[in-house]
Amino acid sequence: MKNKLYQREIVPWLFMLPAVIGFIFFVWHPFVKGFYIAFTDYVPGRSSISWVGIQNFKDVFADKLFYISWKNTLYFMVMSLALCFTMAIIFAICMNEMRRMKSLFRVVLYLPSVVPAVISSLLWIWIFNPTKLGMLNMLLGRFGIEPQPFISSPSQAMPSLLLMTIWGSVGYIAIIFLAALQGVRADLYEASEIDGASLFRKIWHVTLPGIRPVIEMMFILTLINGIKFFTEPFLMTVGGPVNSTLTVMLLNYNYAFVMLEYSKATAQAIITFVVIMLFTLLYFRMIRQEN
Amino acid sequence: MKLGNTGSIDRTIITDMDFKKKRVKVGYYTLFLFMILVVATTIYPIIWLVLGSFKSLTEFYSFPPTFFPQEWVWKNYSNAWNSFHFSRYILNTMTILAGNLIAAIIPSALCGYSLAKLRPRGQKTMFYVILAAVMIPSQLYMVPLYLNLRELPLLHWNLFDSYWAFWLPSMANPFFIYIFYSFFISIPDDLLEAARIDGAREFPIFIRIVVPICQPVFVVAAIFTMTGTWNEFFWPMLVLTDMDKFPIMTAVNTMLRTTNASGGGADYNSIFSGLVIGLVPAVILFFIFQKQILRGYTMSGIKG
Repeated sequence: MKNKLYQREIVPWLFMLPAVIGFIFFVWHPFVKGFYIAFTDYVPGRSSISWVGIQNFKDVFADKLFYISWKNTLYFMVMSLALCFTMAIIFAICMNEMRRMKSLFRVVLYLPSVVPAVISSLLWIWIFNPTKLGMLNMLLGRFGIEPQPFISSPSQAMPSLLLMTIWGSVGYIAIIFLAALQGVRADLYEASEIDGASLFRKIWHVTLPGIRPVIEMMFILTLINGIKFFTEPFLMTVGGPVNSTLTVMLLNYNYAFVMLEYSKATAQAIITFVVIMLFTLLYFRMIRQEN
Repeated sequence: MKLGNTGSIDRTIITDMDFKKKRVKVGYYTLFLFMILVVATTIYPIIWLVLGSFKSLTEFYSFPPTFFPQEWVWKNYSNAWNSFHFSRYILNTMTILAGNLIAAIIPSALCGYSLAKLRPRGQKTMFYVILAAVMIPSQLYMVPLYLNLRELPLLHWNLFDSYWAFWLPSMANPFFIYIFYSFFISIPDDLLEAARIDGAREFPIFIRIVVPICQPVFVVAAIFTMTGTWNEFFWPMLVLTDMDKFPIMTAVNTMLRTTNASGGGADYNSIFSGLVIGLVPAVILFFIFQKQILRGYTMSGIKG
């Protein structure tokens, strides 16, 4: 009997133990410690650490760069939702209609997501080369357009990074929509045809509602990934020129590892976290209202 | 969800009946051309990179640029391979990978199984506490995690400049736990119950019965670990100071950047070869495990 209890209640926890140890040291403890650091004047190795209340948060809100970073991040987020997301839906619906070469389209569209971020960043630095030798300028030159500065100009840097991330992620999002499209019920199409629905009405009233849960999930994921936008500006522009590609996460990195202000960095991370949580809660409420 | 060709029962917006109409056919072929254009645009930068890696330096910088190399300079590859010490960095990456495979898969599989099938008291709380970590962006605790790696709490280990700084944190992978959980949950309980009645203990049941029938999910986790390790550049950059220990992407980034910054004299054609060398394993991995990768991503909806 005792053995049975052991098998029933203790062994399952032994199964979880290795993962739980990992979580304690590398997720839960850092997570809690982050809140501690944000409210103190923490410096690693120093023994006298004092509570400073919301001073770090005040510092962040007083920083001009904080607002610039949010402006850039929101611009990126909105634009990638407007462009990348819509394009992905269109590509997925088109791909689903294809009677030939469907798997080729799928594989090639997915390919950019396979390219490691370091490789694609270095590749795109050359694509965006401001001289006439850069790939994009070469193409523009065919149409008689002067070489553009792209990532070396404050006004074009962010749109350039946007273009690059669309290339990198539109296929991956489209593939997920494509998978969802396989679940759209055929009888609904037939019913709408009996009603004499046009092609666009069919898409609007049958196809899109059919993949609505996936659209909503990908919407929130694209949104959150937009807030977390870091790798490309970090590798390609380091936030420049003139802070035009400074994103929230890049500012966080700068606070922590360039200026070595750990407290300020964690305070800023918590602000970002709150924003992400708000969006997530909004998403869950949206789902609940539907059910 | 299936990704393959749609069978006869399934249908899309355009039916075979519609397809006989001329107007629909014209529309379809317009769309077809549109998709060809999209696909060509997508792959163009990659093809351009590969072709550029074979060009001679003069051709690379010549104007107007050529598309195909006039002569195929294979020497770019040996240049890149030797001057960037690729063999060392690939070996480093493989060492990290070996540890990551063990540290990421085994704890996650055990934990996912326990949550899905053993269900002890407190299972529900545990499930939410672990899965909440999927929602929390890891950047939030980047700084404290960095500090923990420098001095692990209680144990006071310094993991800097060692691969333990990657192996140990990979033990906590909420995403993997979720994949394993959602796979294990579909195992029929009768199967496990039968073994229990025969007197088998939980761990042998897991090893002898569960693991063999759940191989696909282990393959998915292994692939994600492989691509994740190959692509990782950020944490190694923070944690390793000795360049000889760098994994490939961190090394490629650092070296190509310094070459780039050192002036216009950089052999960009060799740099391109270096990029292709870094790209090829990722692409090969994708082509071998295409089905599993696409299924894994769509299964979870989250990119690792």
